[in-house]
Order: sequence, then C-alpha cells, then structure tokens
Amino acid sequence: MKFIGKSILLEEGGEKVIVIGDLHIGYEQGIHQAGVATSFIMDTCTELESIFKETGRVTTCVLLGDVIHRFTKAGNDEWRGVRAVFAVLQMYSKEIIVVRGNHDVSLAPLLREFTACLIDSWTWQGYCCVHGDKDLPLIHTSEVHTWIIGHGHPAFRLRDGAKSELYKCFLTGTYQKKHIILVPSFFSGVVGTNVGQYVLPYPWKFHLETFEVYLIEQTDVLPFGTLGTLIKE
Amino acid sequence: MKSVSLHPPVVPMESAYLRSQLHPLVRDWFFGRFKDFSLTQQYSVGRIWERKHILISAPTGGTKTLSAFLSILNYLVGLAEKHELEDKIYAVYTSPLKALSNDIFVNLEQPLAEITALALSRGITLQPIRVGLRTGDTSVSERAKQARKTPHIMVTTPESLAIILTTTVFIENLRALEFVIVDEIHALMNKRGVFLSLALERLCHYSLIDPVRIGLSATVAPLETIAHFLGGEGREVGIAAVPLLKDIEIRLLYPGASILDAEEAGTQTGVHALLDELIGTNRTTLIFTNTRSATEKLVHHLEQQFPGKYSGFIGAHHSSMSKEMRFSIEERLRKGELKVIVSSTSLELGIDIGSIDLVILLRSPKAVSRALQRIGRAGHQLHAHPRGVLVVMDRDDLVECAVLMKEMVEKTIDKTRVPENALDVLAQHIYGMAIGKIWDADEMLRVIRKSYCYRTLTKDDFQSVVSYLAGDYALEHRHVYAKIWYDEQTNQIGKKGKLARVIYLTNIGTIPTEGFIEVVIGAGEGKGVPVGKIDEGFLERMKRGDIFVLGGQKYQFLHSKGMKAFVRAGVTKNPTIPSWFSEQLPLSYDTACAIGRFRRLVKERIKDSVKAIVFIQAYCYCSKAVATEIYAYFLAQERFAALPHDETLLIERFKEEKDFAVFHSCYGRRVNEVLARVYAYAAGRLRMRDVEIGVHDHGFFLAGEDLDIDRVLKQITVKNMKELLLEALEKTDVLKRRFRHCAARSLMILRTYKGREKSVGKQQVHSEFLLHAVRKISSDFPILREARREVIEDFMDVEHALAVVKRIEQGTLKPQTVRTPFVSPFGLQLYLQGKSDIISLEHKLSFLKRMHQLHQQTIERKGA
Repeated sequence: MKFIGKSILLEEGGEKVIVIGDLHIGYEQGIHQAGVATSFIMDTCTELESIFKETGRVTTCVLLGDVIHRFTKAGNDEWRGVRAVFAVLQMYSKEIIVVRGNHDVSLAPLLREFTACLIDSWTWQGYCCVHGDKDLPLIHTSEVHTWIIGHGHPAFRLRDGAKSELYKCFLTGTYQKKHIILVPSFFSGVVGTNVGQYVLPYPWKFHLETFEVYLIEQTDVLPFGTLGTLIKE
Repeated sequence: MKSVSLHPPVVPMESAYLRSQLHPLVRDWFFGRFKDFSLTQQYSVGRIWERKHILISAPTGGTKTLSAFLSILNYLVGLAEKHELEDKIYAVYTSPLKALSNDIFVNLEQPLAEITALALSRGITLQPIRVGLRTGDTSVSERAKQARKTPHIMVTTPESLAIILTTTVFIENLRALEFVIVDEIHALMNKRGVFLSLALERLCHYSLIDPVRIGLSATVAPLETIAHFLGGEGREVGIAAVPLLKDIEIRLLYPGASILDAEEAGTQTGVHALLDELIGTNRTTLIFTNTRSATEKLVHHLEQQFPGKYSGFIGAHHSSMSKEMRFSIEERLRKGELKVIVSSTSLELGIDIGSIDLVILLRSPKAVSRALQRIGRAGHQLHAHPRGVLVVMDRDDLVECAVLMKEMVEKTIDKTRVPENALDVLAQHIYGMAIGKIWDADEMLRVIRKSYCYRTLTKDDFQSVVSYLAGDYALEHRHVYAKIWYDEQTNQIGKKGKLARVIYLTNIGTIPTEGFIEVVIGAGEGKGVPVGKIDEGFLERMKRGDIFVLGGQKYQFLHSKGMKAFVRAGVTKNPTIPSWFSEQLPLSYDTACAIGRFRRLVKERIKDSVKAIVFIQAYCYCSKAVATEIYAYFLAQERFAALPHDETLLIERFKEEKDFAVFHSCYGRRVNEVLARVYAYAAGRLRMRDVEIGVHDHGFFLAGEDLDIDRVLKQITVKNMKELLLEALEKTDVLKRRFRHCAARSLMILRTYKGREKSVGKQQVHSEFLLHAVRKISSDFPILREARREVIEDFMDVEHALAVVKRIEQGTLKPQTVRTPFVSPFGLQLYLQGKSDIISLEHKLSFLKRMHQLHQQTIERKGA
C-alpha cells in the first residue's frame, strides 16, 4: 500500500487499485447566492491527472463516496463535473467503482453514462472500501483485514508557537482486529475537520490517539507519529 | 470654483424673534414649560423654521430634541389647527440607537398631547398629529397600522429607513417629505453612517421636494466634514457649533500611594476601595469601563468586596444585554434607584438616564471626544457642572490621561473620519434600489454620488459592483446567481428573482454577526465568572494549555463545550498564541502625537527634576503627585535606554528565545497595526521566515530570527508601503474576518435564506471557501477589494502610517537603535501583552517539511 498525495495505491497480483476520497462535486453550489461561480472541477481533474501520471494505468479506481455534494436533483454543475472527472478516470482505469456516500442520493442517473458500479462497499484482496457513514455487517467478516474509509474529512492543525496550518491527513490504526485507514477528502476547496480539536463523525469508536498521522501537502505525505503524541507536542 | 463655503457657521438668533415666529398654542405651551429658549435652541430653531439645512453640534443635554423638533411641531400645529394636515410623512427622524428612538418617540408624544389638551381647553380641536415608531422591534400589527394611517412624523433607525424605502406604500407617503433629522451623528462615523447617507440620498431622490436636513451631534471634529456628510454633495449646511457651557471639572486619580503600587496585579482591591470611596460621596455614579468584560467584572467585584452594600443598587449596562434588562436598568436610573451603574460604551449615547452626579472613567477613554461625551453624561441638566474623574492603574495610562486632560481643558478635539467608497454597503443599496424600481444606470450613479461617502466613486468601481450583483463574476460568463440584471443596451438595472425583496429585508444592515464563544473561568479562583468573548475562529486554533490575552488579562485555555470556552485566570507565563482578538478601543492618533510632543518637552527639562515637575503640572493641569509620578517614569526610561518622542523613533533590540525589536512609535494602535505588519513583512522576506508582531497604542514589536532592522527601515518608502501592506495582509486572519463581514453586507453570504438562519459557524466555513473561490476568479473582485480597504483604512490607519514613513524618509523622524538587556520600562506593557499576529512568509509545504524534520529529531533523541 502506498500513499500518492491524497490517494491510496494498492498493488497485488499484478493488479493496481487507486482509492480516491470524497469529491463533493457541486459543493460550490452550496453558496449559490454568493454571486460567484467558480469551479473546482478543473483543480480536481488536474490533481487526478498528476496522480495517474505517477501510477500509470490502473485496474480499478475506487471513489469512496460523496461524489456529489447536493442532496437535491443533480443540476448542470453536477453533470458537468461528473463528466469531467469520469473522463479522466476512464482514461486511466479499466473499471470504476463508486462506493455510495450519504450525499450520493441523486448520483445514480449521472453514472448511467459511464460503466461504473454504485455499491455500498467493495472488497478486494481483503481490503474493504466503505464510505464511513454507517456500519455494515460484511466488513466484520474474517476475509476483510483492512477498512478504507472516507466521510470524515480528517485534517490536522500543525502548530509551532504562534504559527499554525491545517493539513489534510491520513490516519492509520487498528480497531477490532482490523487495520483502519481513514482517507481525507479529495476535494481541494475545504481542507477538512481538525482531528486535534473535533470528533469525526464515524459510527465506530476509534481510539484515534493511537492512530498514526500522515500529513499531506500537494504531493508530499509525511509521517508524524501517533495522534496522541502529536497533540501533546 | 466656489469661493463661498457650503458649510458656513450659524449665529444664534434673538429670543424675541424666535418667540414671534411661534404659533400661539406652541408659544403658550413652550413658555408654560420653560423659562426661555436654551442656547442650542437659539442656534437652531430659527434656521430650521427658515427651511435651511443645519448641523447642530452641542454638548449632551436635554434640549436637543426640541431644538430639532420645535419648528417642525410649530409648522404641524399650524396645519392641524386649520385642518390642513395631509396623510403623508412630513418628517423622518433617525438615530443609530433603538432605545434612543424609543426615547424620542416618548419625547414627542408628550408635548403633542399637552398642546392638544391646551388647544382643547381653548375650544380648539386640532387634527391629530401622528407620530410613528419604526424599528426592528416594531410589531407586525403596528406596522400594518402605520401603513393604514400614515404617521406625520416617523421615528426610525437607518436599517428600518432602508426597508421603508422598498415598501411601495411608504414611498408614496414620502413624496413630499419636508424634514429629515439625523441624531447622534458622531456615532455614525462608520459603515452604519455610510449606509444611512445612501439611504438619505435615496429618500431625497423619492421626495419631490428636497427636505430640510437637521443633524444633531456631540462635540466632534472636524465639523465641516460632518456637515458635508449630513448634507451630501452640493447642499449648503449651516454649522451651529454651540459653545460648551461650562468647563467640566475633571480629576486624575490612581489607587494607592504610588502608581507602581497600583500596577501590581494584586491591587485590584485598591481600585475597588478608591471607587467605593468616590461612589460613597455621590448620590448616583456612572462608571465607564472600556470593555464589556471589564464592566461585568467590576460589578461582580464590587458586590463581592462590599457585601450587602451594593446588591440591589448597582447595575451593569452594555449592548449585549437583553433589551428588557437594559430598559429596566435605565428606568431604575431615571428614578434614582441605583447608586452606581457600570457601562462599557453603551451609555455614551444620549438616552435620558436621569441625573448623574459623578462620571468615573476607569482607564483611559482613548480619545478626547469620547471623554467629553462620557463626562457630559453627568448632570444632564442645562446648567449643571459636569464632574468627572479619570482613574488609572498603570503608568502608561497615567501619562495618556494626563495628556487627554490637557486636551479636554484646551478643547482640542480629535479628528474623526467616515469610510469612503465602501463597496459592500454600496452593493446592498444598489440591490435595494433595484428592488424599488428599474433604474437608468447613470441616474443611479448620480444619486449615489450625491452622498458624501461616495462623491469620489469611480464609474469603474460602480460598474464592478453592478457586475458582481448581476452574476458576471462567474466562469464562462454564465449569468447565474444574479440578484439584479443589467442590460448593456438600454443601460438599465432591475431586480431579479421573486425572492429579491424577502432576501433583502431579512439580510439588511451593516453590523456583522460574530460567532462569539463565551470565555468563562473554569477552575480555581473566580470559577463561573465570564471574562469576555472570543471568535469561533480563535477557538479553533487553541489547544489545551494555550495562554492568551483577553481584555488585558492572561488566561490559560482548559477546554471548550458548546459555545463556551473554559479557562484558568491568574496566569503569569507568557502568551503562547497571538491574541488578535481585542475589544480594546484604540488611542486616537491626535492624542498619541500629543503624547510624543509632551515626551519631548519633558525630555528637554529632564535633568532638572523640580523644573520638570512644575512644567508637567502646568502643562497637564494636574496635581503635583501626578506630575511627580510622570517625571519618575520618564526618568526611568531615559536612564534605561532613552526617552522616545515625536522626533526620535526609538528601536530597542534584545534577544530572548527570539530576536526582538521594539519600536516606540507612539501613534496609536491603528497606525501601529500598519507599521508592524509592513516592517514584519519586509523583515520576514529577507529570510523567508515568519515574524511575530505585537501591537499597542504606544508602539509595536517584531519577534523573529535574525531581524535586519536597518535594512528594513531603508526598504520601506512612501511609494511601496501600501503595496507591501496589502501583500502582508493576504494571509492574515484580520483580512479573512473582514472579508466575511463584507461578504455578508454585500449579500454574498446570507444570514437568513428562506426563513432559515444560518449559524455563524456555517457562515465562517462558507466564507473561507468563498474567499478561496473569489481569489481564484480575480484578486480584484470588488468585495475582496472592499475587505482590504476596510482593513487598511477603517480598522487600521494607513493614511497616518504613510505620514510616519514620510517623516522617516524626510529625516524629521530619526530612527535610533539601542541594545538593551531586556525590555525597557516603556516597552514593558507591550511586551507583556504578547503577540497579536504572525506575518507568515513560510509556505505551507516548507513549514510541513521543517516540522517533520523537528519531529524526526525528537524521535531520534528519545531513541538515543
């Protein structure tokens, strides 16, 4: 398993799988009275391209859910955004799996244009990808050794005296004999929720202080030890 | 080219003449109540009767209402007797304070009732003269009533006025408006005033006749600017500068035998004993603190230290209290039931609060106009001698208040200014105007430019705001999210969307909503006592154990729950995070310069203690004890390093964990906020490392690694200062926060949409994202530009900062560097206050890498 920027690359038996966190296409619409319509789609597509430049073609691309943001019926922005993103994904991956997120209420119609599966979880070689908003019985089976989870948008505020910066992060640890990997949101408009301050909205009671933290900035992913010690520093 | 001023001074008129102009009913009523016209009335009543615009600047007093309204009532009574009163609004009155509007409403109803009764007693039936009160508190039924039966006099607030302007029923009734009264103008030298000035121009645009503008102001300067602000472009406004009746009686005191005793933290009891003594010798005392938290703490401590003495007789008053609580306190004050009332700034404005014997100003009021306004609350009767006491608790305050006292006695009022070309308020008004009708764009701009605040508005700026409202700042030029439409062919502007009016009405106003986290003592002494408020964004950065400064005190953060943050008090260690959140009022630039001058004059005499003390006593009109303390303080500084003053910019250098440079620039915090950031940015750029800053009224400091101050001084010039400042600001919290406020004012972020109020937390997340999004589009986006302007012109003082830099360039202000072992006496307070911001030059990625390296080193050390 390897971290490539905000994404995870899994390689086994000649197959390559790339896992991408929450995209929240259409998030910009959430401020639709603002009178400012800018798009983060280009940013998302550019970042995806640069990941694939490093990984090369992959067998499967897994989206961890919350592909779109708005709960209401998909509008132009969602159509445009999904088309743009999937155009990139289709160029580099044989198969696209979309794990259903709590925001993906209106996603199904948009996926009809693409050969993409919309499912609640996806297991491969013992790795199980779920969105992270609800617990599922099958993830507890013995075939599964690792849970890869989105939804929480983990981030960490790094402090040095008066200076502080918020970074997206991965958190890895164990829970009920499973390996856990918490994946940050892929969407670049918002960094995420500071795990040092707030409780993340997962249905499982992880002991996050024991989890290893990996802070991300652009393509760099750097380990910082456990969350517990990092908070104390 | 006009050689005659548009704002000529007004002279008082003869009592006999004014009397002859009064309608017999009004005359008999007036002289049944009062002996004669007051001086303020002599200055104003005649001119208003002659239908000429006027600015009345007078000390706070009970006769102002009638000074403004007497001629209007006179006119209306005349019509009412002949049964010629029409169903229209004759006069609109606005004040920035709801409570004041309440007061005025009562102050008008009473005389009208009395005049009507008098008329009846003479067999004359007057047509009823209706007064309507319209504020945010007015009930729906009351509003409906007003729509049915138009009030002849409408008493309102700036926001409610703007709302009325979009209501068709009221617009009709305003077509022949004859008088407009703007009260407490001195409290409108901010965006609220800008808002009102545009509302006035819109109001006058609808009215077929140009109504008489009457402005009421306390003692402010410069009056020409205020008159210009009141009248707008091209209108002649007479200035009635009613002379201060009597000199105020003012003393300067500190608790304990010496000021150094007062400075020690433990001597809070000393202050309370002093206050108790002063309160004891008066019937009713009004104490002004500068912050809300200080107000609450003082009441708490007085009740605690003198149990039983004050309970029931003491009250706090501040704007965060509920309307009911405030009203009840004001009632009790009026009735004389309270012995002492403690207020932050809320009682500065002219609500009637009965008679106050003594006004105590706890700590420096920071400006002469504010000091006079506050002390003027004492007496509140026409010929009373206002009595005031300044109570200080440290040496810096002592010097500041001594100079303030001098300025008060000599009546040197600090200058005020009102924001110009505020694009967010403009956006809100353009939207409001579009809701009313379809406009020709040039006509709209013409109306806007009549406002003093927009007289220099460029067509480009106007166009860019229109573009934003019309949704043109979108990718691919999609006309989405538009609030208005703009047709280039016809050059017209109109509203867009069915919800336009609702959105406008529910989001109107200029006062930003802050997400306040209440800070409460969570453990140890004083548990449960609230000590102030911090921003949600501030809380987000804190971790357990962090020490920060609030209201001049240090606290250690323990934990937070919901909207409360729990802290420990009595902390002595240095702050660990910058406290940019400050409730403190800034020292006026004029007074700060006066302190610089004073320092120089004392320095010239410093070698002769007797001569110096005599000089200080005479100069500041203070006691010998105070003069001696001031001299001792100045001498200590002179001996330690050097006494800084208005011709020397003393820069102290010393090293602790960081390299410190303390600049003794006594220009007030607003100027120092500019200088600190510019110098820090320049210094940071030399090493591409962050520099921390601390800012204060009397100076600022830079803390970083290896600061090359000499090079920095040479680098900053009048030509490049503003540009550097804007660069330095780009990543600061201050800009982010102001952007959120501007975004809300220009309706980019809606507080309420479709009836749902958006929490401040949500507004903050949205505004961060919004700022990110806006920057992607254009760094020239009008609302972003406005946020920058607001920061550097309104919050900070870029104009005067440039003047300081110019003096350095010209050589009239000479930098003098001195190496000290630790901070000097003059720098101590600034140093203890801690950092207030950090100028970030290190990129996010380099910071991450650097921290990672440190982290690795820590691990290796632990392993070894």
